Amino acid sequence: MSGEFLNIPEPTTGMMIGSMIGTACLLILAVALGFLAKRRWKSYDEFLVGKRDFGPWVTGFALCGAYLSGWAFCGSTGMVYKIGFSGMWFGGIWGLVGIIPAIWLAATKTRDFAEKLGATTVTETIGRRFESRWLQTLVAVSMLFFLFMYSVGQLKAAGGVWYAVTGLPPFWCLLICITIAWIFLAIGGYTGTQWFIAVKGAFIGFVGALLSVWALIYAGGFGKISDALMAQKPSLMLLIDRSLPKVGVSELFSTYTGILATPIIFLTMAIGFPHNVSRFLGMKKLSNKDFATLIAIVFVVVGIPNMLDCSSNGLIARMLFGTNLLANKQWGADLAAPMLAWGIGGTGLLCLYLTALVGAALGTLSALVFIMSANVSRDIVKLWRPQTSDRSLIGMNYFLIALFLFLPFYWTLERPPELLVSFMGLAAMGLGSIFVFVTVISYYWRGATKLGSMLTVIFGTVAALFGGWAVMGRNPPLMGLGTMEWILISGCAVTYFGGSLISKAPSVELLNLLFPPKKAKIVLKPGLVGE
Amino acid sequence: MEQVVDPTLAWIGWALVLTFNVLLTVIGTWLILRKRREG
Repeated sequence: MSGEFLNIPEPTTGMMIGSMIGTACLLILAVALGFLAKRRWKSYDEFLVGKRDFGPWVTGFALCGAYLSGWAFCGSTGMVYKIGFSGMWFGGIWGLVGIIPAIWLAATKTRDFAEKLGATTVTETIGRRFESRWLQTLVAVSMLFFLFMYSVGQLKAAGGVWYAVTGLPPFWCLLICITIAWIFLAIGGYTGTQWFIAVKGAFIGFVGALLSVWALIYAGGFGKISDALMAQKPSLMLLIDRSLPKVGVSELFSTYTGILATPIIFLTMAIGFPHNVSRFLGMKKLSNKDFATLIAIVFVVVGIPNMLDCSSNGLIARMLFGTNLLANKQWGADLAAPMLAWGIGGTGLLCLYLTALVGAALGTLSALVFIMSANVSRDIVKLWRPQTSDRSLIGMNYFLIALFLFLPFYWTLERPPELLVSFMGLAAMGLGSIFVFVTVISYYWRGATKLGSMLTVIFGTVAALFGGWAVMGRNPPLMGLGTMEWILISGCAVTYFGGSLISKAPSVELLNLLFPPKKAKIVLKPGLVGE
Repeated sequence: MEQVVDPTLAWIGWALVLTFNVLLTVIGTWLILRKRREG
């Protein structure tokens, strides 16, 4: 380790106690919200979607909470710390606007379609939009598959950082976290989840902005960061680093194909992620003022930390720690963000950051798990066996929530199978590419059909599996991650539009319900008035 | 071949994309709100 830079501190009693108190407060709050939310649902439908009366504040913060995962909050800083500015400056800043089109395009439509169709999940909305139980089942299975893979990685960063900071094995911390998550998900249903994710979104948005702005001031501004990094390793300040491999993940930083793919990845993930879009299911009808408020909340809460996490935070961590964090073989660059918090703000800021990171992982995981359990109970069991009682379905949800929380926990402690690791990397891209068409474009295009949507789901799933192997599983990689994104998005576009153009749209009655014909403007000529 | 590094370029690129994104958000939201008002 280099002596001229800071080193990873030994865990102290203060770090241990501070992190435990912070996490305990977060969990107590989660349980309290779960019990409060219990009073707000009485039926299985209300368990799944609440009373559709959430305003822009809760919806906005919940969207921020679902979007700001452990990766956005911690992994992105680690990536910039390790690789430098190249690639991430572009993708990161596009992340700022990435989530806003999700509101523009999906907020009002998701709410209106779900209400008109009497749907309680995004999958059910899609199934009824196309009058197809088979499509609903296919979407449920595909979504379940992708969300499961995506969920496995959610606790990993939080568990690793918890151990590195407190010196305490993550087993008990994570076990308590998932037990608490089960309590508030099972007791609070959609409402409890929405409330918890909203609180978590507001909290991590605040901590992320605090850390980012504090770090910029501490570093002395952009000029000082540049000077320090130019002295350390000039290639860290390249906009595109051609010395990095042009296949595998690093294609995103080393070629224009890769760099131009990053905004597409961020954009489709933000718009297409079912756990983002689901936040609008329980929303009330928004006035224009509400709509503007929703946008403003998300822009400030997600935009500032996301943009700086992906750019200056990683560079400042590199400025302070040099390559010392990479010497830690187990957690390496994952420690960049928490160590930055410690480097600039000491134990207090570190404990605050760690609490927010546990919240980030737990919140996103909760959103995923709730959808996954509904995918089985509502979109498969209830769909094909409508006589199943609400009581049995709610009981089934309790079990499924426990199962889907336990598996990521298990694979955080035990190394997941290699095959799963390969596919996990492509899960987010696959989800984004498929559902940006099947969900959001279908809100606007009358001509979309079930065949087009089915082909998109099948192509996207197979292509994401192939990409997992070709980019992450194979050694050396067959292609780069950016190229794979272009294949995914263009293939999904071709199958969606092509399949729709050659097949029959849903019934006219349904289309008129969802896409009401525009009222013709009636102009009264002065001479006709009173006749 | 050694790449020439100009850190000013990095920050200019960053600032340009940031400005574009902020403008896009503001203009896009304004247009949508106008459309909603027109019903």
